[in-house]
Amino acid sequence: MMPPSNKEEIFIEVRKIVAQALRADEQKIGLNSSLIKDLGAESIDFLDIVFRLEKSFKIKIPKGELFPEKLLTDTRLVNAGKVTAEGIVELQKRIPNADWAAFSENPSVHNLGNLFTVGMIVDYLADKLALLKSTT
Amino acid sequence: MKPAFRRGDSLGVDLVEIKKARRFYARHRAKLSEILTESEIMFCRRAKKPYERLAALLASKEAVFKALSRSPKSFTEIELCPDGYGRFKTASAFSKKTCRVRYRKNARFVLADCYLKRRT
Repeated sequence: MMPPSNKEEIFIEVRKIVAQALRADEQKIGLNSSLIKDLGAESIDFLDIVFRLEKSFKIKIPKGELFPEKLLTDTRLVNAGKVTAEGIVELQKRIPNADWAAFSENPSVHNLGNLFTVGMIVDYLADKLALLKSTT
Repeated sequence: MKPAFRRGDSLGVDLVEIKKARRFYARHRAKLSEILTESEIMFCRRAKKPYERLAALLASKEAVFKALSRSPKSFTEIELCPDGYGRFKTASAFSKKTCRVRYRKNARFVLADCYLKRRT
């Protein structure tokens, strides 16, 4: 079976995968659902989700490409519990479609988990699949 | 008396739920080589409950990466060698730091910590 290619189809597949990985109710998962805050994801869950996505979408996802969580421990990007201006620029490159206006009002590392949403995965996959399609 | 934690030292901590490691092991056993080295996989497989050792390795690796304060290229970048006493030695060399990784478990969780200590 061909992997989904448009955003709507991608979202449906991602929602199913996230629900299975996190044992969550599929119907309660939306594009804005935060993987950490709303769905309780932990480090092992991120690995699980990546492996499931790789299998379902028949792609390879390098470590840190989808979930740039290790940026949080980079001392250039985080200082005294706040993401620095340089950190915000770096993260914006990785997660361009997040709600950066809201985050910038209080750039605490505790709020960063809110940016890792189901929508972020959908956007990443849509870009990745489009790139793969254009190169084949 | 020397302070226990000095400028340049760093600490990383991670917690993995054993129940999740069990499900992960059951589902992704064939993909373990993407996150563990061959000797780490053997360490898991030799155990009666391999998923408990998987939980220990994953928590420990996350703890090391957090202590290193940088994004790893892959999970196999750091190889952990068990010493049999709830500690791991790192096969990778840290030129200016010594690395201590240890883990403890109860029925539900594995908690790992990594202490990178600047060499004097």
